[in-house]
Amino acid sequence: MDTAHIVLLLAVTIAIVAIAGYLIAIVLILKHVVGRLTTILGAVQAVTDTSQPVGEIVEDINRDLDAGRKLIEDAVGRLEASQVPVGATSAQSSRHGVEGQALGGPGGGTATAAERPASAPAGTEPVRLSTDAERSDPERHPPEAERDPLGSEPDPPETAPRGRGWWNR
Amino acid sequence: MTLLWIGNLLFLFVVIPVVVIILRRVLSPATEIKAYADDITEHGAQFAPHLEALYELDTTRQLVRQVNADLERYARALERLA
Repeated sequence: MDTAHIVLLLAVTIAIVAIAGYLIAIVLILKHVVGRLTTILGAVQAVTDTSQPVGEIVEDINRDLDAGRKLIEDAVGRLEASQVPVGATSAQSSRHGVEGQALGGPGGGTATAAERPASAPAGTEPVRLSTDAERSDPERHPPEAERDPLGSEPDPPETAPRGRGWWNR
Repeated sequence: MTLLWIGNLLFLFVVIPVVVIILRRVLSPATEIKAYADDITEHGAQFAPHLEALYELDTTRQLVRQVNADLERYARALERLA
C-alpha cells in the first residue's frame, strides 16, 4: 500500500465521518421536533376535548336568559298596562292600609279590603308574598326554634293592637 | 489502474462535497423547524390554563336556571300585584 492509497483512505474516512455527523445531527433534530409535535398534539387534543361541549352549554345559557328576559318583559308590560303604581302600593297601603281606599282600585289590594272578598273560600288565610328582607327581620319572623313546629305563625301578644284586616275580626 | 484513481478522485472531490452540501441544506431548515417547534410548544402549552374557566360554564348554567325559576316566581308575584 503506497502513500497515495493511505491519503485517499484518510480523506474518504474524514468525509464519511463528516457525512455521518450531519446525518446524526439531522436525526437528533427531527427526533426533538417529533417530541415537540407530540406535545403540541396532546395540548390541542385536550383543548378540543375541553371546548367540545361549550357550544351546547352556551346555547342553553342563552336560551334560559332569553326566556327570562321575555318573562320579565311580559310581566313588566302587564304591570304597566294595569297602571298600578307599584311603589305606591308598597309604601302607602300596607297590610293595614288607608281607610276609605277603593277596594280593587289602584293600590288597594285584598289586604286593605273592608270586607272579605267573595271569591276567597271560608277558613283560608290570604296568600301573602314574603320577601327575603322580611325573612331576615327577626321581629316579623322569629327564628325557627321559636316558631310553632307545625309552621303556623306565633300568636301575637294580648296587648298588641290588632289590624283591621278581615282575617283579624 | 488509472481509471480506478480517476474514480477515487471523482468520489473524493465531487460526490462527497455534493453530499455534504445537500446535508447542510437539509440541516439548516431542520434547525429552524426545531426553533419553531420549541416556540409553538412554549406558547401552545398556555392554552389549557386559559381554558380552565370553561369548566365554570356548567355552574353558570345551573345558576341561570335557578335565576330563571326565581324570575318566574317574581313574574307571578307581579301578576298578583297587578
